[in-house]
Amino acid sequence: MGSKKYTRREAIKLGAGAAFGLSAGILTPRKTLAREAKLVFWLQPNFNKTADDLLTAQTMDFAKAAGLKDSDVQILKVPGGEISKKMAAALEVGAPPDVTRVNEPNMARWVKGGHLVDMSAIVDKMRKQKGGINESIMTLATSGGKAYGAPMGLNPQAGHARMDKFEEAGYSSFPETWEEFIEAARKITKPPFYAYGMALGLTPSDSLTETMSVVWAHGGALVDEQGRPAFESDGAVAAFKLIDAMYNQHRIIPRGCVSWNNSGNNKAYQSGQIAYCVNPTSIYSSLIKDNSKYLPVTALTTPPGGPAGRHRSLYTDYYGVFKASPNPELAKGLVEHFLAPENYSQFVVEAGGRYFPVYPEMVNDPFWTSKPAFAGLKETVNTGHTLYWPGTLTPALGEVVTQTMVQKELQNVLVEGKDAARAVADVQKAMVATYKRLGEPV
Amino acid sequence: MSQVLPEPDAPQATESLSLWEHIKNDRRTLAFVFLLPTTVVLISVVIYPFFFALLISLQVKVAGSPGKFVGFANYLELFRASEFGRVVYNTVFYTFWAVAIKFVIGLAAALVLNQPRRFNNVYRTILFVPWAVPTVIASLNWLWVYDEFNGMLNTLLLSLGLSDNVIAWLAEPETAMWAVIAVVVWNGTPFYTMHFLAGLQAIPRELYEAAEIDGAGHVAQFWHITIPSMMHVFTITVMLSTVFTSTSIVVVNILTNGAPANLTQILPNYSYGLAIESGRLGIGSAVNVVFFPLLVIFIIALTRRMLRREAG
Amino acid sequence: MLKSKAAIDRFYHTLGTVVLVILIVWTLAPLYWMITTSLKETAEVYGEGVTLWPREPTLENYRILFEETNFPVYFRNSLLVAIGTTLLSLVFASLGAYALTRLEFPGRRLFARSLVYTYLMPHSMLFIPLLAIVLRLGLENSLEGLVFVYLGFTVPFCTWLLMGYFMSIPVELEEAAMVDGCSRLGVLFRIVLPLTVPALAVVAFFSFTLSWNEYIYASVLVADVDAKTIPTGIPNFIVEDVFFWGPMMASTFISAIPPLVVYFIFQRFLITGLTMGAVKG
Repeated sequence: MGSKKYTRREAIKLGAGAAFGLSAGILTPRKTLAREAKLVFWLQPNFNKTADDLLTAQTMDFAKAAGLKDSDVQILKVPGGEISKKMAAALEVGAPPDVTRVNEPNMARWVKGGHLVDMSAIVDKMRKQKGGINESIMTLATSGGKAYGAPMGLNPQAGHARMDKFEEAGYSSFPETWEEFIEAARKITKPPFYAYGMALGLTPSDSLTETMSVVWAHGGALVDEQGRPAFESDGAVAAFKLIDAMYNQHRIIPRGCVSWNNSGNNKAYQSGQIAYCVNPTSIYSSLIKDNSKYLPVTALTTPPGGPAGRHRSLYTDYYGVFKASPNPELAKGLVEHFLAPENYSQFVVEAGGRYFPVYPEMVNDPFWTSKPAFAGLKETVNTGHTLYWPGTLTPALGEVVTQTMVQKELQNVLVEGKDAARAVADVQKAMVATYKRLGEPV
Repeated sequence: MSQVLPEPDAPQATESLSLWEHIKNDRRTLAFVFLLPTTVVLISVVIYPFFFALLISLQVKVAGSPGKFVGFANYLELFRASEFGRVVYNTVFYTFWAVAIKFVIGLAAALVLNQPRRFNNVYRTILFVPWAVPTVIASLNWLWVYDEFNGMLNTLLLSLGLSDNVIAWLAEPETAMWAVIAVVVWNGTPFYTMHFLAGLQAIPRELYEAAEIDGAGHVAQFWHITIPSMMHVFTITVMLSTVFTSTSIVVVNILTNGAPANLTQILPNYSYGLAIESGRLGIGSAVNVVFFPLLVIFIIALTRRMLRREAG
Repeated sequence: MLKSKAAIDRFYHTLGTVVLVILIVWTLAPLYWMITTSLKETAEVYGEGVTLWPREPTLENYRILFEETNFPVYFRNSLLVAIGTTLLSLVFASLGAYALTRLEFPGRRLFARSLVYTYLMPHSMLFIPLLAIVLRLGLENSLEGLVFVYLGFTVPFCTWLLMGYFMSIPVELEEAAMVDGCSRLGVLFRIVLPLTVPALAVVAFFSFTLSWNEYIYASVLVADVDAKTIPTGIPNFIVEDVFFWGPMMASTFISAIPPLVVYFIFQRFLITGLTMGAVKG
């Protein structure tokens, strides 16, 4: 190694210098992140390989038309359940993708955080084609009159019901009220077969939808029209009591529901262990895919109603473009390309019923008219409201959802025998604390 | 650490040599060179992140936005949260029992495997298998064993007539935490078995022979020779395993995510929920920072006491 | 004494056998369930009337696993990460442990002690800052990034284990070699390491299994499904709205094989290595 001479002190200094130099080199923040790709798309798999491949192909088509080389495009497959986590990390270091699908809680969070770019032009264009878009789904993605997300798919919450079981119990149609439902359910339940696979676990999505379907029927809601926490209501107390009765007294809900993850009700329904549950149409599309024996006896219905009527709900997924993107126009172009009617109609069909089209006219396509069960959802798509009705999703409400504040208190009632009224009051207290911390009106 | 090589040909500190000669012959230079990779790794992936985490815990910080220092506000919010006490209690309960049960089963397995028996190698391999199964996979596997309708446990109990109803192991308040602990025990026991077996084999045979001559029975030998000789292994194994066990979110996250009613929620998973699911990095880090001294206190208490006993 | 010594010995031997049988049943029962499930048809997996043995064993789940899922990629990634981590840990830890046991320098004890403490640092605390570091290096979504952070927990443990072992090797051997004109590096490679094989086996084994199993860092640092390892790839079989128990159980079975192979390779060294390293150190 060279002929340069060192004293020991010098040699040691060299060693120590090298150690700290290397560590410092690793730890020093670098402002500009080297990014070779001009267009980065995080593709969230739709559990249907054809649909994923189609999105990939559409991306490459767009890139080619825009004069990009293959190496300029980076498509990463990021499972939907991991998006929040990955994005938290990516935003932290300023390296989000250019384009990805955005769900409602993330939409609220990222609009507030100022991470998304204005997409009004694309949304305006969408409003003018194929029957326009259901305006109620845009409130959530709109801030200061600008749209920060372009809707890419509707997810009507469908009551999947095994009509054969209801008919056996003497009901020719699905019960219209919760009282009637319980009556039917008690006849249907013969352990280990249960009538109601009610998701009640501590995961944010399915379990809150199920709970709110009971709360709404009794006149409760998460927030009021001004978006202030409004969970504390007689309706919510009645709903908690009703769920408690279904779980502990009538025992029409499997005990294990409180620890289910989001696939719990899917598995139970698809394997013929329950007669009813609320879920996006993914259960139904799996039945189609597997050509299940339960497909012909399954109806997609609206959850039972109560004093406050029967409620249909849906949620929306959007495409979002990130401000950190070096080429926002390119990224917006990709979104526009995905949502152009000819590309989009192909995608929703390939996704096999996983999403309802955002353009009302597309529901007249043969794919949707060939399955009578889908007819029951058209109304949901056109008139349904969000989980956050009559208010809208804000970052504070998003946290209420992700921290499963409602479900935790409901579990206290079901498992620990906590008084329903106190549990509801405690949900409200937790909500108010969150709203105050985030500076939202209470 | 008493054996350090003498320096037969130590160069004078002032003597000038080529770098290579330094490396070859000067122990300090050589030590620096040898420890360089380890130092770089430790600074960049352990020490620096640790202080970074401390700093974040004092901020209100949402991922992607700059943090704002708020002093101990995150800690105050935590201590006021109604579930926090329960989560701390659960963590201690879960860690204590998981470690204790692994310890007992591991010791039993090691003692049995240390007995002369044909095909011992086969048994040793079998008892080792759970360590080869990644914890995530083991948790999924057990989730399927516990399944209310299609799981093995209920099927077995029903068919053996030990129960006349299916039990939702992960949903009943009496069984949920134990079901979680069982998975941790299943997956982690081989670590104890291996260490304890190594410890047993390191005990000099002469000690037992001498005891036998003195007329000491098996039980006496166990208490007076085996246990004292194993103190060091016990300490190390329990210390390492406590860290593994108490900081692993995997089993709880996959089996219950805290259900029912937060009865299985533990601190690391609680932190993960806050920091990752809700993007609140500040308070999420605070949970871990609260947890860290708990762990350190436990480890110091354990090592002190065990090492003192060992010395005495 | 009422009973003869032989009778007592026999009693303990029988007791041991009983305990052994219980332990083996406890260990194998979940694995049995995993394997039988993986051999069942989908209809049987979810059907009414659960069977403890498949009615018609089929390898269909294995076919789905290898042809329709990303499992082969996860498997390859896990293998690369585990092997990479193991090799680097071996090198770093041998050098470090030698320096810490044989070379006198200021701060040696402090360094040795801090190794133990860094090992005890909870992973759950470090993943957020680590992500920032890995992103700065441009190693996110890469296997190199995972190897780099895994070294953070394998190196301290391995170094510490090897230190115990090095200390048990008589220093006189090295002195003799040095008197004969062997350099320090020569001593390390020609005298010390060959004697350390059992401990190196333990080190290799632990590095391999720890990195094979690691979940938190992998789940935060890798987003792309093509760079995922088994522990982060498999759970996606059930999160979201899809479940996949048959192929998943097949994957659990296959993913337990490489650590077992490593175990078999190193088996005869493991206990000796642990005895000298962890137990006495």
